[in-house]
Amino acid sequence: MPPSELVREKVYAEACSACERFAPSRLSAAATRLASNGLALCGLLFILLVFAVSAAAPWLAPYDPNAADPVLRLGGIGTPGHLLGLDAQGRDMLSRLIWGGRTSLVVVIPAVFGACVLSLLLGLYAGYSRSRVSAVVMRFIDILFAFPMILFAINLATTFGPGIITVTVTVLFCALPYVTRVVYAEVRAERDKEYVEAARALGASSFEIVAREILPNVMTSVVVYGTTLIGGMIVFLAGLSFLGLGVQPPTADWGRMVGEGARVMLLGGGHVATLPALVIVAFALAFNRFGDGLRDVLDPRD
Amino acid sequence: MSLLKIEQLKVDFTGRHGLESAVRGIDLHIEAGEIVALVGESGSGKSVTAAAIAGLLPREASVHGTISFEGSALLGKPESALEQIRGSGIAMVFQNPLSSLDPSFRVGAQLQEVARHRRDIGQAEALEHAATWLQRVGIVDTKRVLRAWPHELSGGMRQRVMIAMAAMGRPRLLIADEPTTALDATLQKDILALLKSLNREFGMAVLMITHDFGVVSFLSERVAVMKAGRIVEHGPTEQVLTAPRHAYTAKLIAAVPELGLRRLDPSPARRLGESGGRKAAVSVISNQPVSDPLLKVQGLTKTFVIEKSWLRSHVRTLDAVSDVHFEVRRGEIFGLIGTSGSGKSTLARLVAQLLASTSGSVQFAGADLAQFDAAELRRFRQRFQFVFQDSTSSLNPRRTIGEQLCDPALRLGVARNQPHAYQLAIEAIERVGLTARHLERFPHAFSGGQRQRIGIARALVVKPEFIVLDEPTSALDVSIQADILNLLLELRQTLDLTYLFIAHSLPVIEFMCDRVAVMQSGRIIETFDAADLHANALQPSTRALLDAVLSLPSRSGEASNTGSIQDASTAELTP
Repeated sequence: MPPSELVREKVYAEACSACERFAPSRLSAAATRLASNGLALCGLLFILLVFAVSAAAPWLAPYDPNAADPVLRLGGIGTPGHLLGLDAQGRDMLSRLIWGGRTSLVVVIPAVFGACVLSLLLGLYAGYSRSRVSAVVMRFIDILFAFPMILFAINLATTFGPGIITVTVTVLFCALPYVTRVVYAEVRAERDKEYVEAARALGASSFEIVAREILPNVMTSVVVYGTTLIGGMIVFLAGLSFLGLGVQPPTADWGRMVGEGARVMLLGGGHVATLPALVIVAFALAFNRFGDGLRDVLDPRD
Repeated sequence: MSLLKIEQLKVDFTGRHGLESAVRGIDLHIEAGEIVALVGESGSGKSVTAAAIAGLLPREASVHGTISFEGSALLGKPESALEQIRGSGIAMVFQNPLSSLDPSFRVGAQLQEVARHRRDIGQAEALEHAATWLQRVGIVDTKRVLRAWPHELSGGMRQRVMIAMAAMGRPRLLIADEPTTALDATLQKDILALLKSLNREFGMAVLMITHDFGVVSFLSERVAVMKAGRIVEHGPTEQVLTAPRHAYTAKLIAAVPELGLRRLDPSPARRLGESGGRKAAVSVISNQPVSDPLLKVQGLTKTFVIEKSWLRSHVRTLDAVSDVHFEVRRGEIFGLIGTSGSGKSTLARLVAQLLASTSGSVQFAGADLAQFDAAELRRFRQRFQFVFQDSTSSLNPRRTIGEQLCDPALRLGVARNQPHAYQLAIEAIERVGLTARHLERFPHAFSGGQRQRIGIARALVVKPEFIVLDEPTSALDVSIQADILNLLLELRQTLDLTYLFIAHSLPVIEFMCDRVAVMQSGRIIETFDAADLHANALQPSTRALLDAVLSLPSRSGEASNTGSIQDASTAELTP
């Protein structure tokens, strides 16, 4: 470490040890901290906006998202009557964008959330236990890493049919190994810390230690990493839909719209792919920022 | 012209809560060849001052005032000019040599780099130069050390290497920021003697930053005492330590546990510091040891496997604890002392059933702990508690204090339900001098001393009979240490507790403990009555530990500080 870093640490310790720290109620402190993080707040607002818009889609969308007007197909942005233009089939882009968020919300968010919960269970067990079983669990995770997810989806679709459930499960298994690895590493690090030893000295069983002592310390990583994965999973879902495994046409779905729009990019339909792509990017960024903000809020350190 | 002259130095930090003042206007001067100590507790600003002199403050610091080195001002100089001064003008040695030495380079390479800095000499010559300096700082096997990586060396060796690196440039001023705090007593004395000899041989002035008055007494000629960013007292060391003029200095000095202090007041009501004169107005439960021991350890051994192998012959083991016997009687404070690596922490954990022993037995209140089932073990835990050394890592950073106190109370059956547990938590936290509103906070909101109190409260909340304390005050400031030690003595009296007290500081052991066992390399080499160590210690290694204690100019003859402190010049001195 450069000397200035050493000095900085020591100096801050000295400077801050004399400061009084006040502790307002945890909730208000958390809310204040989130509010002061501008980007995180923007992220949260955008997410809520998407939720609201998707829920209100039947009343908000100017046109039926599947109604095609072949005469006006590939109309650009600003075509009279169609604010954001029309796609290759002549369907209104704005309406499709409003409706398109639903699959992302219904499939990706529950899938990633499910993956986080499952990975917490697996990671906590594998990280804390010293038995052979924990090694087996982690090898299973390694297999998931290596397994081509598309194949997994195809297999699942063949057995259960290409529906929402299949896609959700696929996305869950796709996200699972990443988060589990992170949880596992963190639990391993926390396992040898003194407060765990202290808990044992105070009569805690292994289950109590994992659930009450270690869990709060690994929650933050899961939250941050999970929210980061959402953007990537939306794109993954798009890939699945493109292959016919997920959302079936003509249902509007952002990812699918990007895939279909890519084909007409050079035919004057640049907006068909770009607009949904921008929305996906904005949505993923919003989750990233919000996740960061959540981490700052959950981490009680200054 | 002074070598270093500081005038009205002010350092402020722009932090999250606004401007924080670390140094509030200090004046200090160091003449060529002098050894000056800057002493204070955490938060006093002494490290910030050292950093300001060396130009190592972070960017968020704003500095005002003058620091002149050999006549020319240091503040405001560009980095290039400062680089010229560092090394041959001013050099610095830091507290933790493991983080100061680059772990990716061999020691020899790092020394070479320093030797060739601004001097046009070849690699081989630089290496020879480095070897000479290693010898000067007392390292005999220079070849091995030069080829070694930093993590392969012991703490004492690393600090010697750091000093060699700093002194190689023949600096006129060496700033040492608590260089021996992380070292054992015997090593500490060696390193300080080394600094003294370098000072004599090369006329190198030394600015010693420390919180330990023993170090001040041993090393320095003049001392300045800092408190909250100001120098409250300065003068010749002998004078300041024997006749402090400022109340704060006197309070600090009174709080230092010294060998021989026990003889003044050997009763269980003895206390460190200014309250030492007052007899504690506490109902004294008779601490006469009961005939049969509360804790009995026999033949305890713990062997760690440090290198596994399929071949039996290649398996390397470490006997952390070998064949240890001792007994602790009810109401006693039993001390355990040894240098780092002697196995005392391991022994503590074995006794507390936090580690499984390889062989031997531990009996608590007559029952053999190895025979316990889960339910009996839980009952044992309620009666037998542990206080850890590092309060920062032994408290869960993500749970409030209240939760960490209530949980054990419920779990070990001391509390009937949640409200009762909360009540017990409040009781425990008030016992250690904090208040109920502290229960809602997280550990990071407290200072080191407060966290240690919380650790003690956590042990107390389950109403134990026996507490193992693993170096509870090693990381604390002098006055905080005195408070915690006094608290422990008071709790022992009011709650009828028994302690197994582990420390590496002999004066603390002598003050606190009734009997003490000395550990070395996993074995107990002797056990004796702690009230008078000088008289009772027989083994050569124990006597070596005793010799390594840095004492203040004798205060043992002083009467207890009941009178006013201002006129301390009339205090009695016994040489």
